[in-house]
Amino acid sequence: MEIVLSSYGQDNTVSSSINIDFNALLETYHNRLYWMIRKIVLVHDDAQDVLQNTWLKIHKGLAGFKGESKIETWMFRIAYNESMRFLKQKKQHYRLDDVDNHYLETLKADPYFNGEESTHALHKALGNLKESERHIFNLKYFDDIKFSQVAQLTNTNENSVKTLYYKAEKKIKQQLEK
Amino acid sequence: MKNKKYSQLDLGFKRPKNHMEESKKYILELIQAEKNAPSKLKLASPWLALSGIASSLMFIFFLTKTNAPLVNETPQVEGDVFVTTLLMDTLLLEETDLDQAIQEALLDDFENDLALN
Repeated sequence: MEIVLSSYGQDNTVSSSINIDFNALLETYHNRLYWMIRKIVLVHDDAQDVLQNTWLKIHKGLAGFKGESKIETWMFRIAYNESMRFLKQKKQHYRLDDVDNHYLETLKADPYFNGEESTHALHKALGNLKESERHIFNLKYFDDIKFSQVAQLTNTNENSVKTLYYKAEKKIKQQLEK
Repeated sequence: MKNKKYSQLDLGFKRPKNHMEESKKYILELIQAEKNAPSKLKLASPWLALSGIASSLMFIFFLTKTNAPLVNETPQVEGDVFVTTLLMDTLLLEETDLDQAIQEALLDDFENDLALN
């Protein structure tokens, strides 16, 4: 499945055409996108649904991709936005302040979660973070995405991302040392 | 945190066997199915075009039927309104005028009575 894309120069003129093989993208990024989404939505089945929507959007959007950012960042952003959309819909079923309290309960209810004590401690620390801190921490720490990319994904200033990340890291460290 | 680097495995997330392969296959099937399915817009386009033409014709018909008489009738309607207002004005009697008329009538009666006596 090959899609021809136009590459735009800085003056927004078409400078060259690039071919992006959708299958190659799927092969390269499927696993990574799954884990990124899973850490946000927590439950395997939900992650699978979000992942499907993400790939459908990537496929639809590829023809319009202007190459203004890295294709990787563009795909991560779609996955992040889809995950956020899912959480927003889910929040409508709960009271807003209950959502964070549901973190551990949601995990425990998932049959594809290994609830050992060591993982519990880490999740308890993650569950104590604010939602925005947790997402930024996960993207940087576990997904190994650069601060500049995280800033692009979350539509946040890079310095704010760094502040939130270090704040989250400190909180988790304190929690784990208890 | 700085001493130990945690990985995704430490989060305890699991997934079904062969999930990745099956998931990729399913996504490709979904995309293929979407490609093969004619879009709703494509299906609806002949009907949309037809209804567009029909409504345009109706609009033109309405304009030609209603515009000319409206233009001709406007001064007549205006005249009718003016005459009606004038008639109503003549029928209306101011309170002061009414008092005056009663006084004059009474005076006439008084004069008549005086003359008779």
